[in-house]
Amino acid sequence: MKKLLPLALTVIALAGCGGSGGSENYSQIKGTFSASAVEGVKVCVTGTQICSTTDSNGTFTINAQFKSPVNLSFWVGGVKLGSYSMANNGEVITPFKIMGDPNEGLVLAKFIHGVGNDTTGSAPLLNLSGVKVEAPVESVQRAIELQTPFNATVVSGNSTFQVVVDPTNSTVDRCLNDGSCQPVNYRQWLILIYMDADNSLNDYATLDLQELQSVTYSPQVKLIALVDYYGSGFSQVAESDELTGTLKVSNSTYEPDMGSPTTLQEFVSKYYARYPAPKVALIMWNHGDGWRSTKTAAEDATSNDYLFMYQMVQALNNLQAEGIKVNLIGFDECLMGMEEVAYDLAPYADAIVASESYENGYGWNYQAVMEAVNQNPSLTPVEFGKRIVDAYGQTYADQPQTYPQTLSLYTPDFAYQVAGYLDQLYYLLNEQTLPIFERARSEAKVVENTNHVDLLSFAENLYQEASAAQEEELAQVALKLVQTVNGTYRAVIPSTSGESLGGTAVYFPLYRSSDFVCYSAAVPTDCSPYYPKDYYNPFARTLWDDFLNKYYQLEGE
Amino acid sequence: MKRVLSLILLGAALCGCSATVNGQARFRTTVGFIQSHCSSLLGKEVVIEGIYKGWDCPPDCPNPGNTRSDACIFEGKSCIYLLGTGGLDPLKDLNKRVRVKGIVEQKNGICYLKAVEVNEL
Repeated sequence: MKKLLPLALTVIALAGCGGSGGSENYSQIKGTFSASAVEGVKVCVTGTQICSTTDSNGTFTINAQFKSPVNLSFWVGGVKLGSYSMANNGEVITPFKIMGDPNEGLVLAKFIHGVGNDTTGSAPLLNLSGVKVEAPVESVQRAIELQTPFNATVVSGNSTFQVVVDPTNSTVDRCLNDGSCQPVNYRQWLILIYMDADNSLNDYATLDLQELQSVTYSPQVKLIALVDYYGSGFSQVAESDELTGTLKVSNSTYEPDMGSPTTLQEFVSKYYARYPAPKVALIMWNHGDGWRSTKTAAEDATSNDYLFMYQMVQALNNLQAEGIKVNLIGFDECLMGMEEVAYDLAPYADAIVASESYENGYGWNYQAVMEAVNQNPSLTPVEFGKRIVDAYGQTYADQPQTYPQTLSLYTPDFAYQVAGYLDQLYYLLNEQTLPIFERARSEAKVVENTNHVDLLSFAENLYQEASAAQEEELAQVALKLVQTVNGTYRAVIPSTSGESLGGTAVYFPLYRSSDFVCYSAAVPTDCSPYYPKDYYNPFARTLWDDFLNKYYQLEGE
Repeated sequence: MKRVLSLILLGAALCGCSATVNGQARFRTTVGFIQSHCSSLLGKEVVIEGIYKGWDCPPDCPNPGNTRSDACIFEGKSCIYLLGTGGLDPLKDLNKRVRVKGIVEQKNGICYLKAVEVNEL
């Protein structure tokens, strides 16, 4: 989409200036301090004596005229925790936002819970009112940034203890006067499952909730699932309990529109504010088909609403503007394992898990997945993604399959590398090389009667054809594509008839498809009566749609 | 099994229940009939007509759980799932009247169709 590219970049650049929406005047500063709810934190406008204190919800209100962004400093018992430039009035401020780094934020969160004498790091409310703290630091934030170990003396009621902080190895200990020490923990993962069963998948939500309930949850893993069932007026929220380790399910008459990006954004925002964590997983549970027929990541039959990929991207973008980073995005859905989806989400996650083909109706093995992360909450997003892939492979490998299945782990590097190689193919496509591409495409595996080809089989064919035709440069690009796709961590489960896929698809219809106009929409376009008028395909920022356009033109349409 | 099928086909012939798809006569039946005679129709190619409901299938439509993309066809009050989307678009083709030629299969004791050809009517 070269012609639209300058315009698209302008739009993106303008959008990038947004987020806070610029400077605004307020007469009252409101916000919430959250590392769990923390009461008794003194919040001041930096450089002034204008202060307030957080209540039992962690919220604070400062009556003062100010212009956003406003710099706030946070104090506990006489020690400065740190400062933060609040762009949006009413914002939820977490240790992770103050530190701007998940590992450093984890140390600050542990320190706060250490001061609150909560070594599990999972108390839903810390009351630090009346606590006195002395520490030889300018601020805890600064000491952590400089990797400077320090001891803080805490006086709380009749008890006195030490909080020993060592940022070099991210440890915090609470030590009593008798010399005994205990490490202070904090939740490692917030796992959010967006379980949209308001469609044909109604019964599977019940089954998957049972799997989720079979697990004992560590205080370091907080799981929240929002479940919407078929029809109106019934939904559930499942929430792991730090004290019992069980998953508690509460019923509601709330009818969420799971096809709305606002619902998704508010779900993540609400629970991140309540349970901030250094690592966040968002699992999309529903129907899906990425950039394919419906181009959706979720579908809500009651509200007849579809969450298109560009809307999911917008929701994640808004969350990022709020300071919320989702580290792992998993799709317990069919047909999301494609380069387009990996590329769309690459700016927003460290790891993406998705299925190239249909997924088994029973979906992921949640018992195995949750046991893996609860047994080892220190898993990185990529490691957690690998456990999800392993669990899927182990669950279905021995069962007879009607169709080939895969589950793959994508990283941003993978998405950008593949996009780069596809861009190169645009420049290497000409009248001379067209027959090579045509043969590679015609012999490529097609994913389940769709317009997507299996990228591995296409690239392998392209490499062989280009090598045979002594098109060295083209052969090298194709080989890199093969190596990159083969380098993904994936479970490959062949069908009983022996068919298998490589784990990643890409849009490549044999002929120009009627939906090509939407596929090539790099900026909001009213391209189809079935889609919103601001529809666009984030992947059209690459040259792959230009490649397809050139391909069909060279073929003589 | 053969005797039952013969009776079914005889009944169908008497009812004039046949369809022509690509010039070939097929056993045209109803969703309700497939659901009530599933075991005797396993592996058979049938033709049905109904409303494509995509993923908007109520819980009382028996779901075999083949894939997370399975779509369903309604005919009157009867409902049957396809394997996957049947090659249609659950958004664009929602509520369209279609003719489905498919193979009768079963999973978890639940009958479904593996679509061979789906046409809008």
